[in-house]
Formats: sequence, structure tokens, C-alpha cells
Amino acid sequence: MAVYCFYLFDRTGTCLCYYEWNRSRSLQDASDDQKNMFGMLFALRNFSVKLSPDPAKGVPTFFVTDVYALHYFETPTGLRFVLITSHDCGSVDVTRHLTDIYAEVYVEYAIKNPLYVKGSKIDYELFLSKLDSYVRSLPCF
Amino acid sequence: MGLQYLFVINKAGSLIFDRRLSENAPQLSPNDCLHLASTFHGMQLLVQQLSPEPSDHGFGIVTLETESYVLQAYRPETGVQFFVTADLKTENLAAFLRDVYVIYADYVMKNPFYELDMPIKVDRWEAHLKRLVDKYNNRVNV
Repeated sequence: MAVYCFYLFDRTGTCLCYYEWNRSRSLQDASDDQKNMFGMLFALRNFSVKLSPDPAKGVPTFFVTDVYALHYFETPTGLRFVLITSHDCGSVDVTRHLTDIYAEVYVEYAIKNPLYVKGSKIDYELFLSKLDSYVRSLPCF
Repeated sequence: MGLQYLFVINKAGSLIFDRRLSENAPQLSPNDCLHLASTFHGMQLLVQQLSPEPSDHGFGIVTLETESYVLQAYRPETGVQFFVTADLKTENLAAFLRDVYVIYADYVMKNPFYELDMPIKVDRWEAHLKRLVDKYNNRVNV
């Protein structure tokens, strides 16, 4: 059980926030990794919507590989929340925490921050520490 | 509950077999199927690259879940990829794909007229696949 990292993208594909906990393979180039991640999500989303019997419900919630699980949540405004955990945390319950991160961390500490300009990178200490403590409190951490 | 779609992709990423297994499944044109198969192949490479931990085997996605269906993928050592979509809460999809692989090995690979990496048009494979799908769907619906 482990949580590796968190990504937040806006609708244009800009990475608003990246935070990592215990990942053993470090990143060579963070911006490359974020672009690849967004590209993969974009392809994955199109793919899964197309295969869905009901196109309105075809958005992926999570996937599991042999090493990790990726949890995905998107808002109607196009924000994409991604949490990467170890592969044994692959369940819908973990994905639901992303909704809470949106409501309790992003809305409270980024959107309600008067200095925050929408679409810019979020590097407020308060936001990051709340995110950190929220994720550390998860049962799968 | 039941199976929806089965795809088989060769190691170069092109579609060699697709089959709609249920009335619930979306209607896909042959072009869509080709497109989906190559997207899946490309995505698998990215998924492995994005891994936060080093991987020993390098499977990509094994299970994918959405709000309306699940997808299970299986890649044996030869690089062929099988993936199946099914209604939510369908169980034993991994076992189903393994059975599909067994009949693939028996009736496609052992067919002397089958050329490697070409689309599969083998009657006995289709017949056995149909039997397997029926058996599986019956077991799921009981």
C-alpha cells in the first residue's frame, strides 16, 4: 500500500500541481512526464468513451497495471485529478477520495484564495500542506 | 452482466480480430475498431513509461474500470494482446482471457494456413470462441 504521486491538470493540459510521496523511480524531466501523462489521459479518455455502451458514462475511473494503479476524476469544467497508488489499491473507493480532494482542498484552498489566478500553477504552501495531510490520512497511504 | 467486446492485437499494434459479443455493446464500425486497437497499443507503451516504480514484466493496463463497463487485458510473452470489455461487476475476466489464449494457441497458431500477425479468419477458432463465450455468459448469469 502506497501513494506515489498526484497530478492536477486544467482543461488545456497545463499541469497545475504535481506532488509526490514515496516513488522510487525519480523523474528525469518533470515537464516531459506531465505532458506524457496528459497525452495518455487524453487518449485513454477518448478510447474508453468510444468503447462504452453509454457514452455519457464512459469516463475512466481507474486502471491497474502490474505495478501501479491510476485513479482519475474529472470535473465538468475540465479539471483532471490523478492519483497514482500501488497496484493493490485499485478500487473505486480510492477514486472517490479525488472528489474529496477537489471539494475540500482545491475549492477551499485554491479557488477561494483571492490571490489565485485561474489556470496558473498552484504553489501555495497552505494548499500543498493540506493536500499532503489529506493524502497521508488515507487508509491506502 | 456479460461480455461485450473482444479484441486481439498483434505485437506491432494492429488489430487481428474483433468481435461484438453482446447486444449491449456499442456499435463500432470496422474503422473504429482499427483505431481503438492502435490507440490501445500506443497507450500501453505510455502507461509503462509513466510508471512510478520500475516494472519487472512491463504489462501495461491490466484492468480498466469506468462507470459503465470494465476492461481486462492479457498479454502473453509473445506480445500478442487480448482485451475484453464487459458489464460492470463481471468476474473472472482474467480466466476468460486465458481460455481465449488457449484456443488461440490451439486453433490459430497450430493452423498451418494461418500467417503470423495477419487478421484471424479461422472457422474452428470462431466456433470454439463462440462456445467459450456462451459457456462464460451462462455461468455469469446463473
